[in-house]
Order: sequence, then structure tokens, then C-alpha cells
Amino acid sequence: MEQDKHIVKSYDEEIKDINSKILEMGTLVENQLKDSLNALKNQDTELAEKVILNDDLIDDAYNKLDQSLVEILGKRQPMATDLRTIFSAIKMNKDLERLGDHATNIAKRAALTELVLPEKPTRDIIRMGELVHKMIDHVIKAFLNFSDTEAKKVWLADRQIDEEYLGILRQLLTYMMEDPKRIASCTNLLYMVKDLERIGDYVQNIAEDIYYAVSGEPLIDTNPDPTWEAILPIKK
Amino acid sequence: MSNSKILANGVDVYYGSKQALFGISMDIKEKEVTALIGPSGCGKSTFLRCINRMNDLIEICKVSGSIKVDNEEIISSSTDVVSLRSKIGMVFQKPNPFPKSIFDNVAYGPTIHGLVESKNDLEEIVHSSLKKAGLFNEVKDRLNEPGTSLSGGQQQRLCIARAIAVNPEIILMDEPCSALDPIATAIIEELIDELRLNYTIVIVTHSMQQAARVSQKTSFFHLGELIETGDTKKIFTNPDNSKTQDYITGRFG
Amino acid sequence: MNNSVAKEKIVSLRKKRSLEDMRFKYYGFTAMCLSLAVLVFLLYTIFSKGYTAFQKTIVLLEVDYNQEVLKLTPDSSDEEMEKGKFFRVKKQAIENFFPDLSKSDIKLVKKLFSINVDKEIKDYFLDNPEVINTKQQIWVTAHSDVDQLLKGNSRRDVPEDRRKLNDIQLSYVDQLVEENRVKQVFNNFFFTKADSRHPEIAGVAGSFMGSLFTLFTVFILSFPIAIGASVYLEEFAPKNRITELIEVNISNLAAVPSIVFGLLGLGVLLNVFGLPRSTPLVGGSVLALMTLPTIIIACRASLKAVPPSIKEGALAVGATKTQAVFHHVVPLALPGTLTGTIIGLAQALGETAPLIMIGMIAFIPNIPTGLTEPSAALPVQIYLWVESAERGFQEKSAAAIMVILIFLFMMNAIAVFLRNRFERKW
Repeated sequence: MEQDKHIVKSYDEEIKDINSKILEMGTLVENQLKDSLNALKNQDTELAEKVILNDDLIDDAYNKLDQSLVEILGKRQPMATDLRTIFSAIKMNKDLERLGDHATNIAKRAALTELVLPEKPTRDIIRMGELVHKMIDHVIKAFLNFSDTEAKKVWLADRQIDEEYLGILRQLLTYMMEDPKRIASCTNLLYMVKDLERIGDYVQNIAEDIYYAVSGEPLIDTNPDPTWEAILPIKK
Repeated sequence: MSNSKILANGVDVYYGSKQALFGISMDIKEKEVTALIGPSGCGKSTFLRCINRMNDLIEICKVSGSIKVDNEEIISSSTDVVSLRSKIGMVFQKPNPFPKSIFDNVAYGPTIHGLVESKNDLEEIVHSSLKKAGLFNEVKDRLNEPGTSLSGGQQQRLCIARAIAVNPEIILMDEPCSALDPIATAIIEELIDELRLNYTIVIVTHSMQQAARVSQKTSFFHLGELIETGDTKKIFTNPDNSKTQDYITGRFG
Repeated sequence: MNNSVAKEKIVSLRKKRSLEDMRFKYYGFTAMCLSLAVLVFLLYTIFSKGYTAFQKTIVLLEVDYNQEVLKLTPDSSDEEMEKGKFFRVKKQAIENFFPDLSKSDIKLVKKLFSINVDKEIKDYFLDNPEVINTKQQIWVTAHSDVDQLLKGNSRRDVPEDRRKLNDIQLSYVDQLVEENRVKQVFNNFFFTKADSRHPEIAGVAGSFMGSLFTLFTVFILSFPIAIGASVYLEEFAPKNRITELIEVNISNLAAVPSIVFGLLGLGVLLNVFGLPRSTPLVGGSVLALMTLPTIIIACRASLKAVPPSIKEGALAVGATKTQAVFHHVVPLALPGTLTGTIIGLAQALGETAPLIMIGMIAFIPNIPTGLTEPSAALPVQIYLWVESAERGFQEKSAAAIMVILIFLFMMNAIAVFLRNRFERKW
């Protein structure tokens, strides 16, 4: 992020510090998701436990970053690009923390190995998870490059995630309707896919925040909400 | 949509052979607060003082171009400077009350302009000006004490009352809070918020934060040029010009 | 290695500097003591020579207000009483001053009394007409020679022909002293009477009033003109060559010797305009020309010292330049101007040469009552008395110097008082 060259060097240092903390958080949550997905793939309860314990690290990182942001706000009274950057960083911090929570939830569900999970949906979920993981990776890059175009690409990619989510949702509903004995395991998967969808939304939020910080314009979603679209026919 | 109160066009100012302002063109709307910001020596105070012809006091200062107040040209030899200055009040950086009583300070303007006919009228104007300047309650029991016995913030409000007493339409403020503590500054900023309902205010300030708090429009000056002018909200969240951005974020002084 | 050498240097330099400091303080203190010593010496000399002038010698005289001698009656009117033959009464009183006086002795005794005695005898009677036909013991003024002898200013041990009083007279004086018929009292004449050829009744009243009127004239003429000129030069004059020329010449004017102004007064005011000689009007006019530059310079400095923010504030409210200057700047410059004015007046008080040129050196035995009456001035009076041969005037001149010094001190005290009183804080 090009937020340097302030006359007061310590201001530059403080912003660098914030950037590195965000990067740290981003990497942490990225790894959390990867580990959760691996735990699900390999039915690895140890790995799942590790993820659950690491959630504390994320909370710690969140609090530290939050504190730094409050201080820089009061101390520097940032303006223009600095103002937008700090404001976005505050939102990103929260979003990353919630993202981390959802990744941990996936691990918690993956640890329930006594449930026999149907193969196809599980594979689909893992694939969707990898997509989401990629999104996180891209958004972190957009953040590092301070690029509004890259952020916009990530923002648009959430569409795909939503579609995947709807697809898996329908699958699971079909499975549950076919064989009521599968309800327990499918519900478990349902929660997991919901978590993934939420993670996708948070990544989209983060992309919006980066876009605003860079360009000064908000990203407005004019497209219809696919989840709502999917439910509407049932509603009628 | 408010009307143009002050219209500047191609204003150049020279101090001897040194040019201080380069072709300033600006449109100041009425009943709004316009802030002029920029680093030291950028010409914002010089421009402010052109509006009420205070630059006339400096021998070597030459002003050319056009400034129209209410569509009347004021940079011309036929302008009645004295009546112009009763229409445009000024508050200076360092509070400068006259070494007279508080009452006389405020009464001076209306008296010399013949705005009052009776002693009662004069008293009324003095009281109402002090009230508008938010000073009346603090001094109502001691109007005969010298103006210089007040604190810095009170003195500045006295100067504001003095300026208001002649019923101007425009108030020019040249860094009015720079000599005041934060509380006094806050009181003056609150006052500006109230005053702008009735007066057009142009304020020169060193503090971007102050400009952001009190003004609706901001103009950024640099080395005698007007770099950017626009809505204050836009200037402090997303200015167009990179020089403006660099100044307000503290990337150059 | 380097460090300790450098440190030594620093320490020795520090010592040198504090020594220098002490030496300078010592010099200053010594200089101050020397000047104080000179001042004290000066004041002491004046005081020791002059304090005796505040005493006069009076002699007890028995006066018989016999109506036959006076050619008056107890019912005489006031006009008639004025015309009484008091000189006869005096003659008789002197003849009876000592028992058995020969004619030549009487002449000698007569010389022991002041010429003012005639008047004193008359005044006593006019104030108390009921003393007619009674014998009164009145204290009358002694002659200056007696006065100076008793004060110790004239010597007894020189040969007779070099003395004012001969041996017989000396013996008379001694007798008076023994009989307590002579004493010294406060000399009110010094303050109530004008100049006189006789030292014992000479006073500074005439020259004091003359100086007062002169100073008044100086003030009236120079103060308004000076303020007007300063304000014009400071605020209104365009910055061109003519203005520069005027400013340079004002400073030059302050350096012109005062006698030149005296010649100007003589040539222009007296000869061309035909104003009356020796009057405070002319004296004041000449001195006003001299004082103008002082006041102008003080006024300009004060005007410059007024912060421009006050004027700007006035102009910003819509005052015209004249209003801003006269309502705000001039009042603030007044304390400094007044101080300068009083200093200028104090200088004018002591100026002698120009007054001599315009004739205020004439012998004026009355106290002036107006600006157009001939009068003397204090400095000129001092000059005249110092030049006089009579011994009695020596102490008078010293006393007059004391008067003028006190006058000056008072004026400076007023200057300080006014400055403090009108000091405004801006």
C-alpha cells in the first residue's frame, strides 16, 4: 500500500505496522481454512483440534490490530487517502476475525468423524472450499498491491461462490429427502457449506473495503441476490 | 442553490516586483462558510485581504484583476472603501480589541457610520451584537471594563461582536483561532456554525481539521495559485489534485 | 587525551569569562559612584551656598506713631492715611535707635537698615491704624551688609576700607546681637518679591512668574503644532523626497544652537512684527521653535510604537484613515508624547541665550501678570545675580538655582506620573 512519504516518519511506521498486522491476520485465516478443509478431507481430528485452538491466535491478533487502529485514528486525524485506508482497515479487521470464526466452525464440524459423510457432496464442498481459499489469496494480493482492479475481480467472484452454494444446498436437500437416515450427516455438511458461503461474503466485503480505500468510491451491487432468487419460487 | 456573493476573476497581487497571487478565480456563495487552506506563504491571507481592500494599507502591494461583491466591482479607484468595509467585517489572527471599554469597542462602528440615532438604539445594537457573538452573558455586568481585560477567547469574540455590530453581510476571518486554546477554539467554531445562517463567512485556517469541521467549501492555495476548490467533504475524503492530497495528509508542508 | 585538554580549555575560558564579567560590573559600579559623587558634590555646593538665602535678618525698631509727626488724626480717611509722613516717623525712630547718637552716627545707623523699612513702617500702620499715638516695637528688615555679616559671608578681619561696614557700625551690630534686638527669620521676600537693586528684598517671584508664563506660551504654541506635524508625517505624508527632506530637517533643527533662535526672535518677531520686547509671549515663541523638534521626535516615536493591529481593527470596521488615527492611534501615543513634551519644556525652562537676545535680561522690578508684560525669567535672573557685585546676591543666585532645580524635578515627576497614569495596555 502506498501510504508512505509522510513528513512525520513515525506516521509511516504506524501505517506499515497496521499493514503487516492485516497481512498476518489474512495469512492466519487463510491457513485456518486450508487446515479445516484438510481435516475434513482426511478425517483428521488432530488437525481439526489444532484449528480450534488457533482461533485464540486470531482473536489476539484482532484485538492488537483494533487497538493500533484506534490509536492511529485519535493521534493522526487522518485525511483523504489515509482516512479511507484506516477506515477500511477497521472494517477488514472485523471481517477477517469473523471469517476466522467460520473457518473454525468448519473444523469443529469436521471433527465429528463418527458421522459418515456422503462422498459427492463432501467432494463438492472441498472444491468450493478451495475456490474460497483462492479468493482469500487474491484479496490478500489485492491488499498488498493496493489495487482496486484486483479487488473488484475478487468482489465479482463471489457470484460463483453463491452459485456453488446453491448447487450443494439443493444436492443435500435431495439426499436428505431420499434417505432420512442421512439427515444428521447432511445437516452437518449443510452447516459447513453455509460457513463457506459466509466466508465468501466476508471476502467480498473485504474486497469492497479495499476498493473504497483505493478509489474513494463504494462498490455497489446492482445484481439480484441469488440466494433470495432461489428462495422466491418456494415462497410463492 | 445559493447565489454568488464574491466573484473573483484573474486576481494577481504583487508585493513590489514579487508576485504573490497568480490569476485567482473563485466563486464564494452566500450564507456559506468557505475555508482557504494551504501552507504558510501560499497567499491565502493575501487573497482574503483583497476582499475588503485591506491590502491598500501596504504601500508596495498592487492588486489587479476583478473581484465583484454582489456584482459590483471592488478593485477600482472609484470604490468607496469605507462603506465596503462596513459591509465586510474582518476578524484578525491576534485578537485586537480597542483599548476602550467593552461597550465602546462594539459601539465604535455603529457610531461612526451613523447607524444609530439614540443612546437606547446604540445600547440595543451593542447588546444584540454581544449576544450574537455569544459573549453577552459573560460580560453583561461589566460592560464598562476595558476590552483588554478579557481572556484571549473572549477578546476574539468581542472582535467578532465588533465586526457584527455594523451589520455586515460578509465576515472575513484570518486564522481567528490560532492564538486560542482548544476550548476557546471550540466556542468560536460553534459560533461560526450559528453565524453562517446569516452571514457569508470566509475563513483562512492552518488546520485542515478545522476547515473540515466548519466549512462547506474549501479552497487549497499553494505558492500563490489556487490548486483546487470544492465541497469540503470531497476535499477531505477524496481530493482530485495530488498536491491537495499531499498537503492535507501531511506529505508536504 | 584530547578530551582532557579540551576540558581544561573550557574551564580556563569559563574562569576568564567570569573574571571579565566581574571586572565589567566593577567598572560600572565605579562609574556610577563617581557620577553620584559629582552630583552630590554639586548639590551640596549649591545647597550650602544657597540655604542662607532663605533667611533674612530683622531688627527690632521702636516706632512712635505720633499723630503730630504723621500729620494725621485718628479719624483720618484711608486716602489721608496713605499720605501720612511716615519717613518722619522713621527718621525719629532711627535717631532714637541708640541713646546719644551724634549726627554722623545717625547716618551710620541709617545704613544698617534696608530701604524697605519705610514701607514696612507704613504698612504696619495701615494694617493697624489704631496704633496711632502709640509706641510700637516692630521688626524691620536689616540692610544687606548687616545680613551678610551676620550670616558669615563677609569677613570682619580685613582692613576697614575694604569692608562694607566700618568699625563703628560693627560695634553697633555687636551691640544689637547682645541686646537680642536682631534675629534671623524665614525670608518670605525671596518668594514674594521680584528683583531689586537691594539684595535683602530681592526675590524670585518676578522671574518665576515670567518663566511660568513663558513655559505656558511654549506649550500652547508647540504642543498642537508638534502633534499635528508628527501625525501628518507619520500617517498622511506621501513617501517622497519632500517628506524625507522635512524629516531630516526636523532632526537638524533639534541640533541648532539656541542662540540662533534668539537671533531669529530678535530679527523677525521684534523687528519685523514689532511684538513687545522682554515679554513671555516673544520668549515663549522663540523657545517654542526650539522645543518643537523634541516634541515631534517623541511624538513620532510614540506613534510608531502603537501596534498597527489597532489601526487595522479600526479600518476594518469602516473608519476613515483620519478617524482611525485620531480616535485610536493618537490617544495611545499620548503618554509618550507628553513625556517628550515635558522633557522639552524642562529644557526650555533652563534656556538663557535666546531670552537674552530678545531682551528678557532687563531689570524688571515687578511681578508680571500677563503674557504681554515685560518680565524676567529664572535662568536669566540667575545669570544677572551671579554677575552682580553685591555680596548679598551670591546666596540668592544659589537659592534661585535650587528653585529652578526643584521646578525641573517636579516637572519630571509629573512626566513620570502622567506616563504611568495613562499607560494603556494593548
